[in-house]
Amino acid sequence: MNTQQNQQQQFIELSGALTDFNAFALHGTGQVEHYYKTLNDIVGRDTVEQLLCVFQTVSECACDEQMFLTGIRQQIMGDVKLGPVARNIIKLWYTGTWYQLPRTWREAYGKSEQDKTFFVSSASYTEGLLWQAIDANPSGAKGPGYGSWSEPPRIHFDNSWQFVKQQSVQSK
Amino acid sequence: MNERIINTIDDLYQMLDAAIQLEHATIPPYLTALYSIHPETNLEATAVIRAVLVEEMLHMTLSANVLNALGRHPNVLSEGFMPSFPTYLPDGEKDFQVSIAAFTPETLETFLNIERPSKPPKNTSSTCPNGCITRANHARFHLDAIKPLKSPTYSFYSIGDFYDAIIDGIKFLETQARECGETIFIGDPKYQVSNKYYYSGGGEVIEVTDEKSAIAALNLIKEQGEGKAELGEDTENQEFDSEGELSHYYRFKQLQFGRYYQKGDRPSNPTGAKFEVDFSKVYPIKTNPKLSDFAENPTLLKAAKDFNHSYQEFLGIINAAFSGHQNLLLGAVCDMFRLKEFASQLIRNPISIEPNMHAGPTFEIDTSSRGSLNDKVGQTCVHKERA
Amino acid sequence: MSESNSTIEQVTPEQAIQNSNDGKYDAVIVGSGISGAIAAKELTSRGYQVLVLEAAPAKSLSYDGFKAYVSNYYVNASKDNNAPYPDNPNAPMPRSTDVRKLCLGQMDTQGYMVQNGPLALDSTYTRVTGGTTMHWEAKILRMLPDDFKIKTHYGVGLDWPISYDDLMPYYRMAEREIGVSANVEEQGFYGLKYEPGYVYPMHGLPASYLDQVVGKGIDGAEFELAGEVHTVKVRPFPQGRNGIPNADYQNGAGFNPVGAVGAVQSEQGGRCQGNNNCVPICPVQAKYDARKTLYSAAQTGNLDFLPQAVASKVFVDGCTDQVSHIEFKHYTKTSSPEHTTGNITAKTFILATNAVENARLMLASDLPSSSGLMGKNLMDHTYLLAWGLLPEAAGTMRGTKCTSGIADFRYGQSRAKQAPFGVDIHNDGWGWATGSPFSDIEELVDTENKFGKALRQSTVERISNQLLFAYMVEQPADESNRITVDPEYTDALGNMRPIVNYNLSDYSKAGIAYARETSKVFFQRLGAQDFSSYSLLDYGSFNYQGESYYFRGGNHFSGTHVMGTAAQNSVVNEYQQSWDHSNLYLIGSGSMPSIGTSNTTLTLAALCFKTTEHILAHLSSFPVNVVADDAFKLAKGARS
Repeated sequence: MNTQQNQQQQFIELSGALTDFNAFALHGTGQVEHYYKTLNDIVGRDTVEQLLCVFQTVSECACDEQMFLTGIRQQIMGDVKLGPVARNIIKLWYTGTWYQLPRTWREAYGKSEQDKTFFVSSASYTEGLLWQAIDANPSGAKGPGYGSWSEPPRIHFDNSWQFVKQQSVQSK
Repeated sequence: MNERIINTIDDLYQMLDAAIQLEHATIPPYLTALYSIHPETNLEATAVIRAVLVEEMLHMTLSANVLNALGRHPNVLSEGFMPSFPTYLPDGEKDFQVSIAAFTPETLETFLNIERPSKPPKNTSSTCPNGCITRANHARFHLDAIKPLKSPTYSFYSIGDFYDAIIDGIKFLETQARECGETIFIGDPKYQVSNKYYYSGGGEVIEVTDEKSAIAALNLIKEQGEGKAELGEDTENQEFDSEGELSHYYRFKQLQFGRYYQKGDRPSNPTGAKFEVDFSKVYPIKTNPKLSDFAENPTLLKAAKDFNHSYQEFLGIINAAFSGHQNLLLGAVCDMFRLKEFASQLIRNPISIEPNMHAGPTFEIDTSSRGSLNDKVGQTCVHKERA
Repeated sequence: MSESNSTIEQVTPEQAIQNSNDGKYDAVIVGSGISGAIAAKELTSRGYQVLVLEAAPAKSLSYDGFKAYVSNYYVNASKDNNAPYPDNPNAPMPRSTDVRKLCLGQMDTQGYMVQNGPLALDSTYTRVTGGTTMHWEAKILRMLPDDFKIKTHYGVGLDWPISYDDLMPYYRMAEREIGVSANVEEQGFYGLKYEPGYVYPMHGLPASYLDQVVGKGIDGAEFELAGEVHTVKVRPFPQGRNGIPNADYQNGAGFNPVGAVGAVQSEQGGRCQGNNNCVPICPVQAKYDARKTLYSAAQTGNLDFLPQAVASKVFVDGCTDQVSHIEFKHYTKTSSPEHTTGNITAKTFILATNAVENARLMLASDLPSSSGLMGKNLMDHTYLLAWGLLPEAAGTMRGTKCTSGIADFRYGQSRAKQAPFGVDIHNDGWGWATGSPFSDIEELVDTENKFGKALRQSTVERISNQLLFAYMVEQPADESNRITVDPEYTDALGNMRPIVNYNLSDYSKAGIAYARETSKVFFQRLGAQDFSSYSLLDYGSFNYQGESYYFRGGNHFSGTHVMGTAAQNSVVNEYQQSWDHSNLYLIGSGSMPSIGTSNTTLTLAALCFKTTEHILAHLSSFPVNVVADDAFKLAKGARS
């Protein structure tokens, strides 16, 4: 596996921890490459590398899930630079939308021309994970069939992300 | 040599079972090719495959209506009903196999083979019944449930020829029955799937109660599939059926040309709007994937198993719908949409990076569990077991 | 489903002008929305020659053109009700995203529709082929018989010159044309009546799970109002979308649902699949839109269709008071204002743009009506939204936009004092009020700082439990609410833009305030947490008896050329024929003197059938044209 692929793999792991959807579900959207590219294009490779690097450290240091979550909370979500980026990754997966980064972030870490609020593609809209989470179709696509709406929703937490102690993160 | 392929009512039952199996056997390949296309790309190809797929479901329903009209329920959960891919088709076409595969030029070629119009090849032995050709190595026929004519020596060149044989059989047997003041159409009309529960499915269902409606139903299948004329002719409008609809063969042909037919066109020269077919905007599915391919990836394996299980449940509902519970078809459509999402997820998941190869639905159905399944959908499936 | 070709053949402006000069046209219709399309179908199917001028391009008549709308919607960061429909400076449309809070005494000219206040109105319409039925919700109610006489019965608004009974046969025609799915036995309430044995073309759509949850909680709730007890019952709405055909329709003849337009060799337009996107576009064309009717008009061979031709002026012959011709501006590209101008004449002129555009065109042509009422009496349904979170996952965000609601406040003696209202239960949750579900994700991530499992869990609770009541409040006619024009405000082609002057009366506000009170009772009974809040900064904000509210427009523009009993009190007669110019018809909801608590489309479509009957009688007084045999057969078929 080359560095690029390795990083993309890490991106999937990070995305899984942030969204609670496992690699199968994330791949299942068909958006992995598109989102990874969007992220790199807008915040820059260095920031992405830094984020993935911190994530790897947190993963490696965590003995259990609680410690891991605390690590994510403090080292990533609570970081001035990485927090907004991580939150954007979550929103990207859940909605298919890249949200413009906060003004303070843009001023501190550089503005990209592309950093506006937009749907990555028309397909990304229909692949938002929020719809899977609530057992609904994205409005305007994937209609579930006549009368399906009169049944209760079949909400489940299938394909959720599982914490695994570090060694498997790397070797996968 | 008797030119008729169907000589007894059992022959007819068997051929209709084969027809239902045949229509169904095209569904996994069409479905997989369709969902292998990247979303929001290849709009025209997507629309064409989708339309054909939906008509195959109609054809399956029409064949089931004919069988029900004869007093027999189809059983889509019978052993061997689901082919193991790659497979030959149940009408016995032997010069090509059908696979579960991504949408590629080769796949398109197979689709054209499936839907090809009738054309008995020149080297056909003249002793064969209409539309049949003699071939060697019939042992390679993978579908145990179907043995056309109980004879190992014939196979049909096209699906149309196959249906012609059924129509001939119906005419023959019904005439015979009439002479004794009887009819072969002894099925209860309540088993006929009607348009109330089936429409938007690429045409109207024909309820079958007699010879005339049976032939109308079978002709609709034939015409939607391959059009009304013979391959090799190049005359105007032969791409369209009597309803003015383009047949499946020519719909697929358009994808090769990258251009739509319009009225007045000759088959060799479509003149409608042009469009692009981009085979690179397709997920590279491993051809004829099997569960064993996913042994190293537990999530993928589970998802593939779940898909097969759901597909089996879906077939159970179809069985119930064909046995008097047609209201279940509404739910079956919803299940189809769910299946589509499961299949798409599989198809977008890589199984290896070098070479870039993706997973896909395997359609490996375990029929041994069908008893419990029947209980589950609450059906009173009263089908008779085949002799 | 029809498979034969997609597009409607179009004429060039030169051909249209030549045909016009040759005296070909029995009628010219401006607009291809539901009114224009029905008029075109009714006239062409009887062998009359019709030209339809459409301001917008007609790309959506092909499958890929239609699909482009759907993709536009997917990718548009704003999911407003015109999101799929691209900007066209040559025939612009109002967009809710253009609406700002108005400062006292100041006009807002930012959007196409100039807002002159005092309240900003965010209602829109869609200027595309097929008109606003492209984005309509297709909830399709008849008006109550009482709604036609509100002046007489309650002393508010205007009476109609005709009654519910007069419209009944035309309601039936409209329900056939649109293909309505509903069960009669669920609809006959508060005076609504049907001919004995009548059934709708298709069976009613199933109620959503959310409806069932709400019904369990609030059915049987009682409210005393003006001495009458109103008992609440959640009921399904008739829907203008394909369901299961009713075999009993037309004495057992059944009904054939109309499939998608332009779906070349694709399979679409069947039963509703629950895409939950009726507004702004049904991706599978299960929902009726006027292109379906326009398409069948074109099938007669008697329709000339000229898109990208904006009617710019109506000319009247000074001696006869008859309309002599209509001027249009034809453009070739939406990106450039370059255009050619032409004139069209016909025996009959039919303006079918919509309530705002009809009035705008007439006023821009300096034809304010001898009554002075052109553009006045602008009405819309006023919406109050109330939203809460149910204690259980109700499967919100599934189904058509709205399957059920409450009709029990639409009638009664209280109408003398406060506006009546209908209530919709929105299957798309808080979307209209807050921008759900996107805003929910933003809030959960950015404000509630959720991630991982906690986020996924919260997403379910925050979205699947949503409940939104949309209260549709009647607005009676009021001359001060009106459309005007001013040469200072024009579009790219130089056509004057509509200026809207809009306010809410205390009668409306009293209805809104009462609506809000009922929502509190409903939330209590359901154990739902009330999230409704009405910011003073909202562009629809207003104060009533010390409480703040905001309203939303209902996109039901009407009343701008009201019908009445005489030229002094109205613009058109009961046939939507101009009192001033007898060869001119202004058709659509602009003719309605009151709108009750029903979405306007069914009633305006019914009116359109009544009008075309009148026009046909009128046209038949002209020397008879030779009608081709097949056209004759088609005409007979269409009548059956």
